[in-house]
Amino acid sequence: MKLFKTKDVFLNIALPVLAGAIIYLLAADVSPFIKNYFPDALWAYAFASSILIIWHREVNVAWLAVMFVAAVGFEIFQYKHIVPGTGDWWDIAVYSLSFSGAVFLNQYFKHTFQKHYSCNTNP
Amino acid sequence: MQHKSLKNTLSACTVALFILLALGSKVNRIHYGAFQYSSSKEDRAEDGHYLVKNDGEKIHGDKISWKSGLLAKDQIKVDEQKFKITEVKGYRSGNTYYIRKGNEYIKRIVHGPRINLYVEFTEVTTTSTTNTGFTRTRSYTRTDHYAQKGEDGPLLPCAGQSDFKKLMEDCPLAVEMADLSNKQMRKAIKKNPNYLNSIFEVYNNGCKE
Repeated sequence: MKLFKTKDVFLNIALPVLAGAIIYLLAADVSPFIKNYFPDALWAYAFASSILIIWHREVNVAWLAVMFVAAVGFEIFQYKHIVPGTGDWWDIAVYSLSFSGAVFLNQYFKHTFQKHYSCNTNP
Repeated sequence: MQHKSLKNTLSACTVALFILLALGSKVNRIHYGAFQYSSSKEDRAEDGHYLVKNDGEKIHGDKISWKSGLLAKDQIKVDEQKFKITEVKGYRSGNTYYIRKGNEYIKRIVHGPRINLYVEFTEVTTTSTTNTGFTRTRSYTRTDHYAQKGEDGPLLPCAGQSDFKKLMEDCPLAVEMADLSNKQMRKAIKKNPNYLNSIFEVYNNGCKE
């Protein structure tokens, strides 16, 4: 049963983080749009998936909201020059899509890894 | 109950990790205008219009243009000769040299035997709507800087004083010039607009002013 969770973690956390890092660091010949936003999209998806996996694929709205507010807040702080970097509304759009994607796919992965999650939903 | 508390702790750790990674990520943050973008060193270099193919062959001409993008063919033209952007590592247009970065070309602002410095300009437009329904559009030019050791080295993001010091650690004078607080650096640039360029020029000059 632990294997199911390991597969879920690998597929929805480790793989997107790794793919994002490869695109960001190594892909020199890709469009700047993909290079700028695709890694962010994958990392945001991985973080949203982390929360979903921690809560055994039950949608915990409060923690997902905290995560989303942290991501959007970081962009706003960049825009206001409170933290280093360039605030970008496209990043916020990308985060929204990734978070929505993770929640949308949640039912599918919950069903796929049901055996594990149905055995571990006790409070 | 204990299980739920563990999940809450893990969730808090995930959010904290996200914030730490975001804060710790490398940002290319030298602002527009910190460097002189038409360097006198570059002006003294050879003149002309030519493409430099990946194998070093130069194709001379009078007019160079290139285009890339999702809907465009990635190609560069010198007069009527067309090449794939991936086949051409750089080009010179008058007294400015451009190097390929991905499917685009970025401007060289410092040229020398040990280190080159490039700048990439990106026009950014952001729009926001206030709660009264007023839409505000803000446009600015983002500048990203890249250093290159030698003529064919990889382009290394160059985000600030700490990167300068690391790149030129074998030259105490350049390190000393880069080792200023933000306030001191602003003052130095105000006094000498070529100050940041001159750090690289010192390095290229065998670590001498």
